[in-house]
Amino acid sequence: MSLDYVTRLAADVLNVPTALICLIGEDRLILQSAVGIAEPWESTREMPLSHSYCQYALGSSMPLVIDDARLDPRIQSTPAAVEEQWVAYVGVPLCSEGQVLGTLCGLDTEPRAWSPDEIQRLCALAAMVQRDWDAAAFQRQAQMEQQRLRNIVDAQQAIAAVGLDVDAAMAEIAERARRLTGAAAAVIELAEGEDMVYRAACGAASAHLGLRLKIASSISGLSVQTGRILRSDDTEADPRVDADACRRVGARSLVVVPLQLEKHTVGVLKVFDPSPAAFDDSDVEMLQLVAGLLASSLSQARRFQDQQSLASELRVSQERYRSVFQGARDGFFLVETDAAGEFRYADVNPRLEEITGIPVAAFVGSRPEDVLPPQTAIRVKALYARVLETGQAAEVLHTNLLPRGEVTTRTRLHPLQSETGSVAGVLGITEDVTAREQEKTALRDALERYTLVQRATNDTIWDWNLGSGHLSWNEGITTTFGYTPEQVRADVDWWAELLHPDDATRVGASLEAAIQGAAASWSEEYRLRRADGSYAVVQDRGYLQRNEQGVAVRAIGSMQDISVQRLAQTELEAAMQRAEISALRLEAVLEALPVGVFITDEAGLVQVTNPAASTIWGGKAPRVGIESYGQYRAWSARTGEALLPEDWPIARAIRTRRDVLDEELVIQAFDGTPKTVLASGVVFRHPDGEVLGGVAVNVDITDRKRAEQALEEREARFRSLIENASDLITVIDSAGAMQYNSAAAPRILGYAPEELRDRTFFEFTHPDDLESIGGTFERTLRNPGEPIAYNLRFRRSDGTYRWLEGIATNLLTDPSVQGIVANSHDVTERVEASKKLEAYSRELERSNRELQDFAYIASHDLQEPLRKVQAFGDRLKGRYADLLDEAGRDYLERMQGAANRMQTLIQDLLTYSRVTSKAQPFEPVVLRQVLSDVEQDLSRRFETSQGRLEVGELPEIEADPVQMRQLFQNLVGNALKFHREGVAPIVTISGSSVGDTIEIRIQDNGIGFEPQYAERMFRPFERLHGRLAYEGTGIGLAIVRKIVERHNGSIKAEGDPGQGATFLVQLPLQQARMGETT
Amino acid sequence: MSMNGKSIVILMAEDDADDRLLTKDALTESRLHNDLRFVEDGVELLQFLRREGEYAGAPRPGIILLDLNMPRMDGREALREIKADPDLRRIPVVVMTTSKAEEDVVRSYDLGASSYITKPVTFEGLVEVMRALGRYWIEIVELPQE
Repeated sequence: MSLDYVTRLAADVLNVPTALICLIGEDRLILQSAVGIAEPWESTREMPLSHSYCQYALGSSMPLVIDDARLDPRIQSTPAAVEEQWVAYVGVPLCSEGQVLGTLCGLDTEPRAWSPDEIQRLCALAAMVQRDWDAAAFQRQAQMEQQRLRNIVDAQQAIAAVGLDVDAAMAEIAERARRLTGAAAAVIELAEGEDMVYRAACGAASAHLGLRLKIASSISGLSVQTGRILRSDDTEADPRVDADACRRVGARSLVVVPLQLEKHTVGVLKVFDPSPAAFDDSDVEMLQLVAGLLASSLSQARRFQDQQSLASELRVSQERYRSVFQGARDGFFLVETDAAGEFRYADVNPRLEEITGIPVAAFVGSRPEDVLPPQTAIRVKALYARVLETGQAAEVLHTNLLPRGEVTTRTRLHPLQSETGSVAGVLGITEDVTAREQEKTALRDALERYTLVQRATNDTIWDWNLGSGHLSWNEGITTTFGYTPEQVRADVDWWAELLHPDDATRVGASLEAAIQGAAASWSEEYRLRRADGSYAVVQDRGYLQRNEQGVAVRAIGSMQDISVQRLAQTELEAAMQRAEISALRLEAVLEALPVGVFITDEAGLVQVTNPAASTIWGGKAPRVGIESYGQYRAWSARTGEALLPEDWPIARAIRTRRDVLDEELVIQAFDGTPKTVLASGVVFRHPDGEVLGGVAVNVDITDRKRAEQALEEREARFRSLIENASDLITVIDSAGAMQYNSAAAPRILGYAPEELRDRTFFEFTHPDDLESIGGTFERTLRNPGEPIAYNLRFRRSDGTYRWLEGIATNLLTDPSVQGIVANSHDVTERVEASKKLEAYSRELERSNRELQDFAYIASHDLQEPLRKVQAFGDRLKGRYADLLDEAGRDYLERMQGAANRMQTLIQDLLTYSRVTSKAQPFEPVVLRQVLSDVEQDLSRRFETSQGRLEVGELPEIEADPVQMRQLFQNLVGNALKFHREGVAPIVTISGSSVGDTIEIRIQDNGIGFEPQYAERMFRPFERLHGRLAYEGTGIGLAIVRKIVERHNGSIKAEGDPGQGATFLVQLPLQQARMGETT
Repeated sequence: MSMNGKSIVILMAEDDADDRLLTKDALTESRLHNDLRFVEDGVELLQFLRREGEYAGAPRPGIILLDLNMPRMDGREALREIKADPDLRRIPVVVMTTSKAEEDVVRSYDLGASSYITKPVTFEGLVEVMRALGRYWIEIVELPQE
């Protein structure tokens, strides 16, 4: 529901020009909706609470009805009636949770007689509004508070902008305070003596700037004295205030907040208003805030002023020094030692040029021998050295031939001490006494001059009659030393009394010496007591008048008060010493520092840079303010973001007054080189805490960074190597505890690397392996750097054991490792496979043995009964053949034939088994020789068959000679056996090397064979032909193959029936050592 | 058939009855008329030689034919015993066995055998062996006197 709709409706219902929905604040009405209101309210949307009748509606939840305000004495002076001519009013309170928050009201400029009907309808409208208000009201209140906070922030900023101008700051603060509290006037009063003085005033009080009120009689004074906040809602009824004074300035209600400055209350901030109860608690709070701001501004300003006055004092003292130094009557010079230990004149005054005739410019920066005659130079250098060494002042009088001529000088040398007490230089004061010598002959002139001088100067002139002791003074003794004419005694004893006790002896002696000697004058510097008891430093010069006999009879002199000069001189000496030394020291330090240093003023403007700064930045480091720090290009090493000028550590240090240390930045030097620096910014302060400037430091860590990076990369590479390695890498300490396990640990050991950390590998080692691994570990410890092989069974997390094999290297003393590095390979599979292999080979051996046993049985035990069959067969045939008939004899023949065949079979079987069981070691065998032997063996058969053997080139091979002979005998014999009827057998044997093997072809022109039998014919007892056609058991080729296989070779047969047969034998030239089995 | 006109006793240790029979036949066939006695294992052989038990009156053989493979005590052990006995060691021992094994041959000579003969397969062979033995050990060789 629109509030504007309601107000229009209310205006219609009541038939009034003006209707309002307003919130009642502490001090004002906030217009939520309004029809028929004039400016300024139409714009401000609020009006003082006092302005409206609504203020009277606050106490009750009943409608307020005013028919004619002018008739009611209580309200006739309300501005609503007076200024706005609203005389009739009807208002219904708008409540929330029992509190009156505002009103819906109608106003008329004509008197009205409100009817109950009109009031009731307004109440109905108000009820509508109220429903929506319950929630909205608080929200609005909150917004108001926010607005007030914003105002405070604005005020703070405005005050900060004014800065250090105290008066402007106070004026600004007062104005803000006034506006924030809505007061008619605000003033800042500071306590000065017994008064409170209006130092800032605004609003209704602006005319009273500078007003002074007695502390004792004002409420502000009370606040200052008690340090408490005071508030008066009605000054007319408040005994604490001077009601008359308040009335004069129009302060019906007021708030006074004390200003605390370094724990002292120095004044107050006061607001007041002509209306009573114009201020509430939130105003007080706000004023407290503002007062806090004011105090800090004042404190800053005061420090600033202190500093400025210090600076000006320093300037004054410097100027005083300059003037003394430049304008001194004596020649001044400063001698320092340079880095090489040579004396150099650091400064001389023009007077010295006059005395010596050597230009100032020639002196400055030169060594004594550069400007002085050699003899003089040697003498002065010895003197300077003595002063520096002893720290004692010295004085010397001598005559030198200088560019100006022969000059007699008296020079006093003073050591210049640094703060630490060491002597840093020599201050020399040279007086030209040549003139004084000459004055001897010009006394008269001098006396005439004296009278002139007497009139012209303030010097104190004295005239001493040595005979009578009478000593007369001019008026200088009264004007300079403060003695009244009555106090002055005209005798030399009085003068002696005035001498400082410490100087009396010296001065007396020198005066006496002058009088007794032939001198024409006397001069001395000493302290003389003034009338007030203090001592003045005087330069006293006297001229001696002598009689004919040369006896001094009269002395006339002048005394000059040089206290001021001496004081200035002392100050100068100290200041110069301090300044020069700190400057030199700073310069030397900056020069030597390997880090870049930038010294800034308190605003961050770079004023000094050192050479290292230029080195780091690859060019002259510009002296710029914070806004131009962008010339130094940099990025944050952490985030990679470009650094804004105000982000530089020094800029932040200056802004926050806190040191910012060691931020890593990547910079681009002026020559484009990228570098990594650690940047810091620190502020330095006056002893009272005020920041005087900043120091930025850049440390070039590019090389370190690069090295770190390289190291990191190397480490990462190494780590990834380890992590990705299939092997397990373990680092063990000297006690066997595992400090590191690579990523292979879970896979191989079943443990995460961290589960194994700090546990010894011994506790996981198989009990049977403990002893051997213990020994290996000992050996590893004893032999640093030596790779040592180990193997052990390691218990996995599941309780099973894994065989680990590897190399351990003791790198305990290697600083980058500090451990024993063990590189383990899981060989469990291999170990198990080799165990299995071992078992197989044992099994094979056993079965081989059984086979051999069988062969033995076959050859021996089976042969035994067979032999009997044959023997008794022989006996039967031999003794009883005659008793048998033809058939019986035939049976007997057959039986004997079968027995003979069996005999052959057993013999062949034995031979076959002996290929392995009776094998000889391999040795070099000349194959041609073997074949020649075979030919010899078979010569009968060659003869009978008229066959021949053709042998080509054959190499020497490594083989069993007996078996080679058997092999060829069988093959050649075979070829002879299976020759073609009527064709002379020709057996051709040739060999060709193929890599490290030889292929031997044994070719014949015999009957050949069906290719399908090419493989079968090598089986034992396999026969391709009937027994009647070809004798033999069929073991020959089986033996051949067995021999070839034992020699790690291969054999195959090629052929066709009637085409002859070819056997291809491949044998290695060399036998592998390990492959041999016997 | 003796140089000394004396017929020496031949003692054969052989567990195989067939072989004993064949040997006896072969001896007859070779026309040697020496007294051939048999024992069937090493134990009996030593009893015979030492005239123990039933062999109390046994003659001392001039030559021993020894089979290697016998029950109870085989030829190798018997040979070791004989050659270790100072009383018996002078009697020549001819090993006659079916074994052609090289180690048996070497071992037998090592133990002190006088000869090593593989039993011939045929009876004719056996007759030939017996004839040769007789000729060599009985006719040619001078044996120590009892």
